[in-house]
Amino acid sequence: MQNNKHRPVYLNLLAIHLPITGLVSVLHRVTGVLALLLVPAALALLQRSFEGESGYAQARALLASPAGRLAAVVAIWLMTQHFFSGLRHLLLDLDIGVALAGARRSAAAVFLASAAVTLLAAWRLL
Amino acid sequence: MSARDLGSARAGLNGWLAQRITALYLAGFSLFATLRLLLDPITDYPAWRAWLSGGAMRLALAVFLLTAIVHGWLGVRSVLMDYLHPGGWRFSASVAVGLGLLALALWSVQIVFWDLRP
Repeated sequence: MQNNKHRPVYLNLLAIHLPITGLVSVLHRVTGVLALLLVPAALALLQRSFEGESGYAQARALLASPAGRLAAVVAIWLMTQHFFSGLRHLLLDLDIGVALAGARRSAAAVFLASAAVTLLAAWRLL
Repeated sequence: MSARDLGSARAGLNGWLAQRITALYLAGFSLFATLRLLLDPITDYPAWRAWLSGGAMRLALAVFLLTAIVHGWLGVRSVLMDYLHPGGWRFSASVAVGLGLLALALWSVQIVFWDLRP
């Protein structure tokens, strides 16, 4: 493959209009990578919760602290956004909602659904 | 470079399929565990331990943790392949992520099979 060194490169991210379908797709990756970064913290918390009555109480207290609640809400947004956009990808694999209008509607539905779950969680936890 | 140098096409399909299968398990287990905890909240240590250390649930938890790590590997792999050039940082980044995920997998096994032992 011969690259043309003089080909025009135009990647002004502020000038590129990202459609809602593209935003869902990018966020699926971003939330996935962020969720993976949270795995060590989640495993540490899980392990602590199995270390006797005191470990369990510590894990609960950590989650119930203001910082813990905030982290939980952020994690819930990450996971629900990734869950719903993943579900959308699986449906697209089955050729469901591939046409542009449907793809835009399902992308909007993903944002609404994850926002609804996150707001509900924030209302209960914060 | 000819198409032959790009490797087996089936290997890519296997990864694609594994990503979908792991996604289904992760979604199913997450949904089940979330609903279980919301409908009948666990409030003390004996109940928490009893819920997760029972035979089937313990195995399902182990599969969930390992599946999450495999799914994470497949996802990060496609991100690295898209944004890092071959031969450059892609190899080192893949090795680093792979070793990190291997450590997480061993840690998960330790949690389920040692910390959660009956």
